[in-house]
Amino acid sequence: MKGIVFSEFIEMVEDKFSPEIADQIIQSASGRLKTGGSYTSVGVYDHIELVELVKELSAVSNIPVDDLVTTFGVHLAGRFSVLYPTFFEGVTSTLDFLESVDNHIHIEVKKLYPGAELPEFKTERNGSQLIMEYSSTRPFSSLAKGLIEGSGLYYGETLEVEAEDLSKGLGNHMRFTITRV
Amino acid sequence: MRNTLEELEKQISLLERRFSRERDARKEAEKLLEQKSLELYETNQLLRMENLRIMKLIQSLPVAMVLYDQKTVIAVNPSFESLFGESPEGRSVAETEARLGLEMRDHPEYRVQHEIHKQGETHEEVTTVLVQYVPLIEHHTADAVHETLMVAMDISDRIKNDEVQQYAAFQAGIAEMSASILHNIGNIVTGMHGSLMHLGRIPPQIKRLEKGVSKALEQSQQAEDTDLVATNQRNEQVMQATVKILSGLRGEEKMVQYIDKLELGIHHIGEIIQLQQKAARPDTHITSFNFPSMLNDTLSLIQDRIEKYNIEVVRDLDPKLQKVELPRNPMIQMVMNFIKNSMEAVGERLLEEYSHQGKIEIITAVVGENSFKLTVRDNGCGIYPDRLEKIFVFGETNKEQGSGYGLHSAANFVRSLNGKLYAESDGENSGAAMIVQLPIRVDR
Repeated sequence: MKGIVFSEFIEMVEDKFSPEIADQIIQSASGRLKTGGSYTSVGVYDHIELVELVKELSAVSNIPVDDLVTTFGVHLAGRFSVLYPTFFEGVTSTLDFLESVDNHIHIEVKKLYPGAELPEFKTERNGSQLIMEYSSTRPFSSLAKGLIEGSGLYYGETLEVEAEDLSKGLGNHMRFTITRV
Repeated sequence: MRNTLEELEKQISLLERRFSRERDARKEAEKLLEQKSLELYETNQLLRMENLRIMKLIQSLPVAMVLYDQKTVIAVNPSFESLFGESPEGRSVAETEARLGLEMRDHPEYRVQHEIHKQGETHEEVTTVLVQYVPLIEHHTADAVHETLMVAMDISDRIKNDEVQQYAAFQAGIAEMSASILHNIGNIVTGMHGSLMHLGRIPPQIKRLEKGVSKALEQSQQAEDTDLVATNQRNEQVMQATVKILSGLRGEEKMVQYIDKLELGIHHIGEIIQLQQKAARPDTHITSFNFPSMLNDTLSLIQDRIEKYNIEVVRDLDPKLQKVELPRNPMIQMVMNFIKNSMEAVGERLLEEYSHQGKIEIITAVVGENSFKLTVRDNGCGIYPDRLEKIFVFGETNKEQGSGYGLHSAANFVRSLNGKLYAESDGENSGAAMIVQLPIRVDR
């Protein structure tokens, strides 16, 4: 997984909780982290390390893991819009943007990082409703949900996001029904 | 105080850990950066090699290529310089467009046919090229700088070959049709011959009848009264013979039918000849074409024969006459016919004057606003004054094996375009000229 996800996660924990909490979860999980909790945005790390960090944060904050990951997704979408504005500027609505993820954004990401393992998004548009099916080798459907909600915030639109688990609890296959309200 | 100190120590410890993690991260980032720099360097080297390879390839390709962006011509290969006669490398696109008379598009992908006019030693040479514009971008935007590759291929030979094949196919078609027509006419003539044979039997029988009746009359005048019985007997015999002959002639009552058959046969032959004339007329589709180029193409069709007779061909073409809108194929046929006739006239004169240097002049001149004159003049055997007008009549020919169809067909073609065609000659061994005046454009 790209290092930017890790560095942004640590920054979010520092901002939303505190630097002490961030330090605490790294310290607690360090025995299970190959990197020892040192991340650079240009590196590539095992996604398990993020899972470990989120688990620790959940234990410290008493917030469910899924809620934390979704919140992180919202934060990440906001950061992506600052770091990679060109992907957001070409379209004018959340649903249009989400439709472009698989057939435009991911193609460009692949050009930049040929080895990147990206999740797959199949979309089906029906007016103001978009059905988006997420599938990945990693259990981050909650992160996808947060990214969807964060995109809605960027475009100033209110969205209703219904999630249907297609992975029997594994979190790697989910159907989202997104409705613009 | 102790609490503050403990708090401070905690903060320092936290900062130390953060610093340590940041330092580790920085080290890793530096390592990655170095690795990426190396990869970038290698990629750059590969790109340079690839660029060199592509440039060499472009330089060596036999098709003309020019690379340009919206403002400047970036690169040109030697084939381009050779084909267009100049290298616009480094020039502005606007100036290059003006010099070449060719639009340099930047998008989308497009193909166009273009003519390059170059002044040769004796005449203007026209090269037809197929130009293709290939934008080297995925998505066109008006403001972004982007490059376009223009590829030009010389298709003059291909066009000439097509014309040679088209003409050969046309001639072969006519030959095949002629054979079929002659076969049909032969069948009709056979039928007519039968009718004629039947009709041919009638005159001898009438002659026999005339002879018998004359003899009977003569004997009757010379006979005495005593011979009356004998005379009556002879008259009776003559009458019987007459009845027999007339009866025989009555048997030929189909005579009228034979005559009808002959008439029908003649009519049928006329129809077949008309059909042949109609079908042998080339495509009269009006097209826009370059007249000097058409003359060059026509000459190239019979270049081998011109060389065989060692004839000097001189062109004196009016530069104002370029694009015309006329039926191209019949025009080629007509010009070719003039030139062939001139060659044969030169050949005939050579039989008498072995050292004679044959010469054919092709002259064009624009006349008025929408008219031009084409003259094909030779220094061959010439035409007798009394034949100057007759040579355009069907079947009239000066040649031993001529059909008398070529100039007749040319006259018909010129007439159909409301033009004029006439011949000039000062007589035997004084050469001759075919002069045709035609509109530059006719309505399609």
